[in-house]
Amino acid sequence: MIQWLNDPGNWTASGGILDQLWSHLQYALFALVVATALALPVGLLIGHAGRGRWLVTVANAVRALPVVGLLILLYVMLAPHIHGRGDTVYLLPTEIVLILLAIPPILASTVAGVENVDPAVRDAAAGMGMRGGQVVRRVELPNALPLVFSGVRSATLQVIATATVAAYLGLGGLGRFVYDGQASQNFAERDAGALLVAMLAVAADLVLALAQRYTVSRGVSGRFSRRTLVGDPVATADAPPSTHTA
Amino acid sequence: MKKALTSALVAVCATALAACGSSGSSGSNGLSASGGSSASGGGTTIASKLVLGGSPEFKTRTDGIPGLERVYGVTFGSYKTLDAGGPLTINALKNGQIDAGDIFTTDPSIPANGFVVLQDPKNLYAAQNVLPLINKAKASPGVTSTLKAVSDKLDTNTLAQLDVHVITDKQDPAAVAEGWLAAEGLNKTGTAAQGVSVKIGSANFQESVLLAEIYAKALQAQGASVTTRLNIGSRETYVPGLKDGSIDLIPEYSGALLVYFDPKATAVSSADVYAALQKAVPAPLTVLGQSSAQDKDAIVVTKATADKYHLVTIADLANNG
Amino acid sequence: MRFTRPAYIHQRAARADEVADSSMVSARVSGRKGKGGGLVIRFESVSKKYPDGTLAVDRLELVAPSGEITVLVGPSGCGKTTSLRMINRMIEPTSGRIWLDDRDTATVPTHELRRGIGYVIQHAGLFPHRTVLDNITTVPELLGRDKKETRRRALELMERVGLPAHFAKRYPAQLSGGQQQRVGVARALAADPPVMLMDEPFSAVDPVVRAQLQNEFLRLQGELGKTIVFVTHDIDEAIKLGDRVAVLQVGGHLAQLAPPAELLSDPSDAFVAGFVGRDRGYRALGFAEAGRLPVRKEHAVRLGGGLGEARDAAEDGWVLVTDAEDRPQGWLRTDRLPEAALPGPVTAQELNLGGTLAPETATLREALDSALSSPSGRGVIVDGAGRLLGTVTASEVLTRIEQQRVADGRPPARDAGLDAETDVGRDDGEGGEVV
Repeated sequence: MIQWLNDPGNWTASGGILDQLWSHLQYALFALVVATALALPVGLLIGHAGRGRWLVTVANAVRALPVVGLLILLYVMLAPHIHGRGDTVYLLPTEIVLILLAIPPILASTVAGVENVDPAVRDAAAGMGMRGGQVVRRVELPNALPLVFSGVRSATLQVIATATVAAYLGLGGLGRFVYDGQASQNFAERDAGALLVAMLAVAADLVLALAQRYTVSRGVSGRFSRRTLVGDPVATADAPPSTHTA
Repeated sequence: MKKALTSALVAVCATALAACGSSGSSGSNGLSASGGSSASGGGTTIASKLVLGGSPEFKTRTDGIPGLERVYGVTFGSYKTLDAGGPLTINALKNGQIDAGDIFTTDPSIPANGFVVLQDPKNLYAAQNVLPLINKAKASPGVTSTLKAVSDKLDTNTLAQLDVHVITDKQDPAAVAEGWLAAEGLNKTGTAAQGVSVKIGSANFQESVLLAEIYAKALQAQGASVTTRLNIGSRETYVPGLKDGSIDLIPEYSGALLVYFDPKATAVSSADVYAALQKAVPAPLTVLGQSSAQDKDAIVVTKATADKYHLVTIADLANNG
Repeated sequence: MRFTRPAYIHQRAARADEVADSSMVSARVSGRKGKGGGLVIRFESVSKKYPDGTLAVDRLELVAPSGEITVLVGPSGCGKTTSLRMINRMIEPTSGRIWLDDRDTATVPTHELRRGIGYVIQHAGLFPHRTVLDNITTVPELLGRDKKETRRRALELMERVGLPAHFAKRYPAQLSGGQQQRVGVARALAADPPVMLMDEPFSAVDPVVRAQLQNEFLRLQGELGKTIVFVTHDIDEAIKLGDRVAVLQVGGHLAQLAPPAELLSDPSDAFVAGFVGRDRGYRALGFAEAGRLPVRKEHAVRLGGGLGEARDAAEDGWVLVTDAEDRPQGWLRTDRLPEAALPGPVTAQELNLGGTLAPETATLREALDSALSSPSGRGVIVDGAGRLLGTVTASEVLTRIEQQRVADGRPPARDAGLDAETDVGRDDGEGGEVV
């Protein structure tokens, strides 16, 4: 496997590692962007309104569907409608599956994130005259961000791992090595493909962790320098009044 | 309603995927980029305009893409990795995602869609004639002649048609077997196999089950007492079973069986394979007369493509189009 | 600097002031007087009935006069918070109207209404993701005001509520509960609203901080003169802070609306009497200024002076010890000093610190407490700088109480041992009987 990975030809060839890495990223990124674009606003709305939680349940139920089965079902349903060259007929089912897979963690964690916002904070926001949308954007979302990120990160891991099935439908991606390696009994190739998928997932998670660090307010994440923690000497505003006792 | 909905969904998603479209090319292996077209000499070959689809291993298999180039000088424009003659390849061929597919010759989709199987005169794909693999102890003259009569009547088109009934129409293999035997007059009661008891097995796929049923009904008609053990599994499972007598007879394919017994075998034509097989089969087993029905890899195109480029054999693909 | 108020707030009707002045209790006992910078809030037969049938507020009629603190107090479930939240329409009334001056709140878009009303809640409800400064500038930001000016004013407000400027960049999680509540008050004041709603703002902090916040709140209100509606379940807080106190009964009935002193001296019914508590007579003294108490000269000795000298100056075995600037430090018991110790100096370790100090402007409660808490029985009175003026005994304070009762023409106490006919000169020291 190491040998396979060390062969520069396996990296740069047409359909080589770099090509497939890029395809893999594209499949995953597209699914994640669409899933976030759908699940984040819906999750914010559900959390804000406190209604429609059943959607989270439904989304979670979808998660239980077998990925390959769903992929084939979608392909069989869609194939008669798509003619001609091009990969649309393979991309559509793949992306739909990946999106369906990415939505539940993002949706559930967004809803939970908004629900976890201190009721007093929401009350204050509304009481100061923020409109519903302002409460969502200015207060609920920034405070829900750590959980939103955890949802997106968990979705990312899952989508990157699952984007391997794109190869099952004849698309590219790192799954190509896994399927081809298995089919042609080239186990070094297969195992290297699996390792690359895992490494890509870890790398993507690191990128998101970094993004989270720079997006989430320190006031929410609690990353304060030791010097300014509660209870330091400057907190004299609450010191007891000078005693009247004689 | 459902159809309209699906169409709408397709339209929307297709637009959305346009951005993602470039990645689609990664799925097809750019054979042309690897110098395929130059290998076929001057001018533009028909094949270079076409997309071939098939299993992942077809890309590297000796009788896959390298074989096509070596034997026929055919290099396709690109190769789309799909499945081994499964629904992906068949649908892709049907809906125009690919122009040619690596599909098995008896696949029910061939008669169902009017696909054209390109002839393989140079036997790029080793012959895979259907034949009975039997324990010598049971190969009485009556049994041998009864099964020969069946093999004589069976050909590739017939088998593909019967597969349509079993695989596509989901009819009972036993009933389909009986129906065909009746149509061919092979169900007439006789005594050729009287007193013989035969245990017939099958591999675990539909065509094998169908063939086992055909053998069973034919032998029954000739007075044999028959029991069946269907869907046993792969060769690794049932060949030992034949040797130890837990089954006596199973339908087989000549080329694959030869390679099983002799991995270094090089024979490709029906006659050569059969001759080699007869030598390679270890005691106490033997093969009986083979039928002309073959279930093997084939390059299959749609009728429209075949007509457009006047394609009959694989070699025609190397012509300038 | 001038902040623009929401348009409707400028349309202040002349009638509004009349309402404030003609309200049944314009007489103020305490000396606090706001600048009248607020609006009048008027509840007109306001009811709130929840879908489950609970009647939270029942035809409430209430006026919160301009520039005053109106406290809504009552047991839990009395509808006080509901009433408060109906003012900024965080809860919509089922029936009735609430007026801000002559403006029916129901006719103002809620977000516009709320931006014109300061809102302080129990746990401050600061935005965890925003710094102290950003929290404070929330409403001016919503109103689209000039950023620089808003920040300048926010910093000024921080100073006003007692927060050091370097807190501006901190996050709420870095603040103590009391500090958070200070930010909460500053945030409510940032857009200079004429009206403030405060829902148990000080109840989540410890008693020492609470007292401090209360005092600073009163000082701040003395400067700003907002119309404030303040909800609490704590009758002591209500009495301390309220210009007027509305006692609500479970089911949303207004049981009594009166200045604190009147509430204590003349509860309208058994519910109010029970709610304000048993020692209300004593607490009422907190609303009566002692006036000029007959302060007697006290012979004090300096810290570090000779013990012998201290024993000579002592009266009834106790001598008051002060520092070099005449500030009382504690009492020294001299009748048990061993002879051998007499040549030594007076040290801080030997002092009894039991007594409280009363300022010369003390209320009767403070003066009485000073006398009752002193080990010598002599309450220490100090001037504004904390320097010793003299002492007063409990009986002298009681005498003052009786003199004031007569002067006010109030009826004799019904439930106390003393009445107007009692010998005002009596010097029996029975201070405990005042209850």
